[in-house]
Parts: sequence; C-alpha cells; structure tokens
Amino acid sequence: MATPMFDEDNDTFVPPLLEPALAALREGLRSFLADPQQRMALRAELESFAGRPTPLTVAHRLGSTWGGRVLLKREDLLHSGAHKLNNALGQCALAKYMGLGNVLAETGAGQHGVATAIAGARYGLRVTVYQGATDVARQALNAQRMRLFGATLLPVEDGAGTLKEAVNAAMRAWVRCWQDTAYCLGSAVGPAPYPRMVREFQRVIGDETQAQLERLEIMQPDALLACVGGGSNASGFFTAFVDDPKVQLIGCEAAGAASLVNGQPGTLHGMESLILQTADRQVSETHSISAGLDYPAVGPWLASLKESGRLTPYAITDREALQALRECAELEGILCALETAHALAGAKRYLAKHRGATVVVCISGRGDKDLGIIGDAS
Amino acid sequence: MTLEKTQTRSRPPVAQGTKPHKLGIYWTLGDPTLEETLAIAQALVDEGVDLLELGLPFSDPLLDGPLIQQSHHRVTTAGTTFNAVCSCLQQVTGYAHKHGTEVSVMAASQLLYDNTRRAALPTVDGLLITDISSHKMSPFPMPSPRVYFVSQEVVLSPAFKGLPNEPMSMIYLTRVQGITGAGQEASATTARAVAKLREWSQLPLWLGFGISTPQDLAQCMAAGADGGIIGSAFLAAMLPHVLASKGGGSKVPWREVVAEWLAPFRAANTG
Repeated sequence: MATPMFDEDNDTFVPPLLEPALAALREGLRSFLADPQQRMALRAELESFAGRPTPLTVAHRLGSTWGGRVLLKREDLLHSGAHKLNNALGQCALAKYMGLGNVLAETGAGQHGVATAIAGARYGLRVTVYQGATDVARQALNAQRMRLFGATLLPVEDGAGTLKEAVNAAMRAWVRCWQDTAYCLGSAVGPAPYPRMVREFQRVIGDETQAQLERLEIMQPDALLACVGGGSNASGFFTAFVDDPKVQLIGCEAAGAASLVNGQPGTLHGMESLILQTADRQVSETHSISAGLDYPAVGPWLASLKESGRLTPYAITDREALQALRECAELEGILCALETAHALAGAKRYLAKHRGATVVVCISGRGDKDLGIIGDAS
Repeated sequence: MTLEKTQTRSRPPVAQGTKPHKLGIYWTLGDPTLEETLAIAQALVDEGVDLLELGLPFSDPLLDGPLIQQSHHRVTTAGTTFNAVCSCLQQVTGYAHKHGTEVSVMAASQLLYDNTRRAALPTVDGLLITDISSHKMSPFPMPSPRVYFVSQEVVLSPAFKGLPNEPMSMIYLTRVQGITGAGQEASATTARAVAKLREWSQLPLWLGFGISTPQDLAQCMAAGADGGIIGSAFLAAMLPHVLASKGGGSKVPWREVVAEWLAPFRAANTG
C-alpha cells in the first residue's frame, strides 16, 4: 500500500455500532452550520460568555531572551482557562439544537471536561465526564471544578488510566445511549465528523490571530507554534495560515507521546492517522508530564500536514517544557499550562536556529491546574 | 451446515423436523495461554460447536464489554506476539476443519493494517474487522472472505442499501444495541432486521451480542437467524478456570468443563 494521505473526513474505519450515532450527528451538524441564527448565537456566546476575542500579547522579554519577536495568542484568558471551551460551547449548542438533553465527554487533563461541564451548565444539559483514574489524581483541581459545575465524573481504571482509556470508555457508553445523548469529543481526533467539526469550532483562534497580526502590521509571521496532543488547538490555530507556505507551522509534542514524530500509519478510535504503536501493532502506552498531551495518536488533519511536509513536528522533553514554563512566568508574568509549555519550548528552540524571526505561540491554557506538578518537579 | 457425525464428536442427532440451532463461541486467542487456547478450542470442536469466532488480542478492544476487554488485557500484557498467535490459529483451524467446525477471526483493523500482517494470518473461513463501516468495501485486500458485521439500527434504517459487493462468508448481525455482554434483553426488532437482510443476501446469518442461554439461542432461531454466537457468557463460565490456570493451578480438564457448559444447549437443540 502506498503511503496514505490522511483525511479528516475519512469514515471508513468506524465500528458499525457507532454508525447510527454518527449519521445522526452528521445530519444535525449540517443543519446547525447551515443556520445563520445558530452561528450568530454561538458567536455571541463566545463573546459575551467566553470572553472572545482573546488578546494577542507581545512578549518583549521572552523575545529578547530567546532572540526574536515573540507573540502569544492568549487562549489562557478564555473563560475556564483554556481553548477547549470554543469547541465545548459549539458541540453543546449543537446538542441542544438536536434536542439531546445529555452530554458525555472524555478528558485528559480535565480542561475539556471542565469546558463541557461549563457549557452543559450554560445550556441546561446533563453532563457525564470520563477521565482516566491516573489523570483524576494528577489534575485534582479540574476534577473538583467539573463536579462544581454539576457534571458527573466517572474515573476509568482500565490500563494506564489516561486519555486513551477515557476515550474508549466514553465511546462504549455512547453506543448505548446515543439517541438521547451527545458525545462531546475534546480534540481533532476520532471518527468523522469529529476531526473536522472540532477544527471548525477552534478555527476562531487562528482567524482572530490573523486579523490581530494585520493590525500590528505583521503580515507574515515566520512560524506558528502550538502544542499537540490530539491536535485541537493546533488545528484551530493553523487553519487560517495553512495556505500561506511562507508561514512555517510547528507542532510541539511531548517526547514520550510524539505521534507526529514517531507514529506510524494505523487506526484508532475511528480514525486513520499516525499512531504510536509497538512492533506488534499494539497501541503504545505513552508518557508525558502533561496529561493533555498523553495520547498515542494525532488527528488526521495534522498527520496529513506532516506527511506532506507542510507541518514540522518537534518532540519536546518534560525538562524543556518545565524550563520554558518557568521562563514565561518569570519574564512575562504568565503561568501557562504544562501542555502549552511544550509550544513555548518549541519557540525557544526555533529562535535559537532562526535569530530575529517572528513567531506566534498559541497559549492554549493557563497553568493553575499544574502548580502541584510544577512544584514537585523542581 | 449440519455436520456429519464423526467418531470424535459427540453431537447428538437433531430432533426430526426442527432446524438445528447453530452455535458459535467467541474466544480471545492466547487466553490464558496459547496452549490452553488450543485445548479450549479442541474441546469446543469435539463437543460439536459449529463456529469458532477467534479474537486477535488487542490493546484497545473498543466495543467489548468488561469480560472480553479483560481477556484482551490478559493476553496483551503477557506479551503474546502476533506470530505466536498466528501459529496457534493455524493449529486451531487445522483441527477445527478436520472435524467440520468453521473458524472466523475477529480483529481490529489496526492489527491487520499492513500487507505483511495480512499475509501472515492463516487462511480461515471468515475475517471480521470490527471497525469497518458496514456500507464500505473492505479498505484493503482481505486474506479471507469478509464476515459482514452490521448493527440492527443500520439494517433497519431507510438508508440501508445492501451489502458491499465483495466475497463474504457470513453475516454477523448484532442482536442488541450496545457492546458485548451477557444477559442483554432481546430486541423486538431482531426479526425485522433479519428479514430485511434476507431480502438482500442468502449468506448464513448469525446473531451475536448478549446471547447467554439456550432460550436466547432459541430466540435467535425464532427471529430467522441460522445461528447465534456466544462470547461473554461462555467466558464468564470459563473465567474461574482461566484465572486458576494463570495462577499456576493444576491442568484444567477443558473437555469436561466445556461439555458441562454446553449440555443445556444440546438438550435444547434436541428437545
């Protein structure tokens, strides 16, 4: 078989039991996106509730320390503290539009779980979140927040108890209850139409950035950097710029979970993409200090950009990420999430080789949830 | 497919005028070990089971209930390799075919994604890839005929346009909505789904998911199916022996254990 081109709309590798649920979702989504009132209402929610647009911050001290011009797209300032809410509000608005009263979600670090719980509270939907037991423990702040927003949190004990087990558990549950329950998937992964839908709901990040750069008279940054777990913030950030080949797109992964760098073609969770796997084609257990990047695959859109050479992947170590997090805190007064710190570390690495370049980094989330881990690791 | 009696098989004669209940049993290859899998498979064949549905062990069995998930976990964490599984499958298939039992393999597409893997898999009667959309052709060349895996909801939807045009051995229709697991309630729509499929295909039609008892199997037949496949219920009954075996206990008399479990099904078939 020739090297496959990964396709976010590919619906070949879907378990038949999920087909009716996905068919209903596809129809609901088509109708929702075609309705100008729905799109306007969602945009209004993103502004008046979530706090969009988020600022584009010039990081003077990081820039002069790292040897270039550094701008930060501040998704950490979005309500709930991460970009996840853009997608959760979109999918929950869709659920309500489709007449579904319940929502289930998987979550890694907990930000998507929190975002779904918030959106559920806002729209009057009953939310259940599946989170790996390991992640529940290491991201306790988010577990507490989800419960406060009224969601039921179900720890998943299987396997290593991280994100892939949570996805498995959520999909199994959805097969049984799809007629009255939406599955709010948190990243640009999974069976079609999820990868494209999530990218569509997140593209506001890059669209705003493009307009904000123009106002600063920066017509063409040299590089955009984002952290990559499943790829939701990166997909959303990169979409507006993908057709401009002079803007380098850099996806920064955790070295212990680097599917763009080390993954091989395969299938997982309803998608054909780059999967971290053993020689025996079992899906690998991954490691990252950041729960949100601890996933052994990446969405097909980013995988296809990597295969075509449009996207450059970086594998960032825990140590590099922690170092970048500290520098951003000490030089700019911004505490970013451990996931995000991988993108900052990537920017530092890029500028070391491209002195004087202009880079824009997506600050995908804030780091309050990580204070315990940052403290332990010092 | 009514089997000829052979000396090693103990299948009793079918009551006059009734259609025999064809019985398939699911087992995860390598559970608890490859040697014991062979022994269990031989016991099932000797006791007259019509079909073995054998799962390739996978790290992420998405749509199986807890019992079958755990069986995959036991095998993958023991480090059982694909090549070793293939050798076991070859032996099981050889024995099964000598005694008139069909063999199908059940696998996630990830495990058979590349050419060399598909070439290494022994030829069997049918291959069920658990994550291929039921309206799509198989996305890669299949080393054995496809087992057409489809859910009732899909069959009964107005959009259903029949089976993809490729070689198939049988239809595996899910009996209930949801994942595998013993004891799920029978769906009233099963008979309608079977009837609708019969309009499209004359392939042998098996029901699976949630079948535990002879009564469940009889319902499958009443709904018009050719047979029923049991997974979790059989595994639940074998589980104490599986775990004892893994714990290093004495050799399990699989033939006796399997015969005892099958007895009510046999009685129902001849009653």
